[in-house]
Amino acid sequence: MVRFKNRYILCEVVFPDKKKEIPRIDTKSVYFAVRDAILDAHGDYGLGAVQFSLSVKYLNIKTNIIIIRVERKHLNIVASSVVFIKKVASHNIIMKTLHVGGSIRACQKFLISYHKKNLPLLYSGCETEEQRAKVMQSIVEACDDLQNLTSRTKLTAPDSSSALNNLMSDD
Amino acid sequence: MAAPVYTDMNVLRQPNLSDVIDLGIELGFEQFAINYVVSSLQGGKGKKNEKLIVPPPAEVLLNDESVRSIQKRCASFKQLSRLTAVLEDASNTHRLGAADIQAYDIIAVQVTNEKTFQLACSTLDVDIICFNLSESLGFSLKRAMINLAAKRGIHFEIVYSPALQENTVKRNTISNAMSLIRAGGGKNVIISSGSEQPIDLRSPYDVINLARLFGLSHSQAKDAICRNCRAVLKHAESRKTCKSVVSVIKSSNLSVKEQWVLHQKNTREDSKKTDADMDSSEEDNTEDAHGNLMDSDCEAEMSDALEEPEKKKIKL
Repeated sequence: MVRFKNRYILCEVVFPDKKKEIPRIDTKSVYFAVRDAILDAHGDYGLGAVQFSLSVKYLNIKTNIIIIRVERKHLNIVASSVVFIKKVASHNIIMKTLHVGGSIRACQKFLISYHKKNLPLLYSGCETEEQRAKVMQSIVEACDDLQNLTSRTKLTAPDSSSALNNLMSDD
Repeated sequence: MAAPVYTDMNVLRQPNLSDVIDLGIELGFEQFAINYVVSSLQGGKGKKNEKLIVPPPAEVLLNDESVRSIQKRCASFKQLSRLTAVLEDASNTHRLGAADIQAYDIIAVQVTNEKTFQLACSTLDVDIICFNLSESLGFSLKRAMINLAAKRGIHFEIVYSPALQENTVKRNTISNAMSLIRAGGGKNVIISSGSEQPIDLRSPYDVINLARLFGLSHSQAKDAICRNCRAVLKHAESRKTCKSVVSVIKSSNLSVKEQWVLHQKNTREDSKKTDADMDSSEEDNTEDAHGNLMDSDCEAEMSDALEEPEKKKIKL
């Protein structure tokens, strides 16, 4: 028996409209947006092919990160449909694909390095120490969440302390 | 190989330009060609008010201040000026050679019918040929013509922002893009946004995914947003040089790295005065042939700047 293989698409949600308040999106609305986009781009066949395995595994409103799961065979259908998404729950958004990985753990690894790389950019927008601490806090929380998710799916043994230490040591 | 520089070769000149570029940088692009569209080329002979007036590239580009503020966030940011002329018929194409149009970094033509398509592929001295992909083309893209253009180093542009609009426009864009890629074998294609709104931009990875829908392979799609764009820039650069061998720049515009040329020239000036005279007279001819404008008082300096590299080449 061969394992059922998935692909995990790691996306960042970018809001092109510069607004003060943080738009509220949830897993369900993202799922329906992806579904509609697939229906638009690939029709009933496309949706039928991926419907079984398609799910939004993870959503973080603070760092705007989404992980979408799909069967490996039909990755192309979802990856090309994500491009067409323009709205989630009446918010204008752009989905920026960061990475496609074979497991949530792989995505998490990439995410940590991505956050590390972008930390100076985020910090440049901060004026006080408090704001910096807040940014750091939200990133650490996000990584923690993801860690819990990985351990729950039992893909790998949880190793939260080392990942977080890695991130903190760079600070 | 250097790291890939993702380039968006078509950002329309418009009031919210800086918003679009800000978002483009956030998404991962580094170079932007800012596009000024001329709806029709009119002859220089007509009455004064009918004459085509093209703004200098400096007016089209972002000003220094905003460039500096962007470079704080993205050090490798670079902007280029691009002019797109819509060709309704074959007349007045000589205007493309005029100095005010040649001042732009990249020159593109948008063809509207078979005649102008053939003209652009076979004779016009341009860098990019683009189409209005959101409507049906009305003529077939012949493989021979596309190959001819590819041989001359001209690239074809696919604008992806209409593919994100409503159904009919999307369908037309996909169908036209596919026929263009089928006819050209996926070579000499560049993909750019052409977006008016920030929301029509996509990140490089997503553009590659979209291009795969159009029928390009992964590597071809990647080339279409980085390597081919570089080729376009090289092609545009070669247009400004004489047979791609000799180029002329003002000595005041020389970068710090190249200042040695002037310095060496000054030290040896006396011994090679006769040579210098000969060279400067030769150089005047090339300038005339290209119609480059210049101040007469700079001429001597320029010839100085030119002389050294030329001699080096001869020695080699």
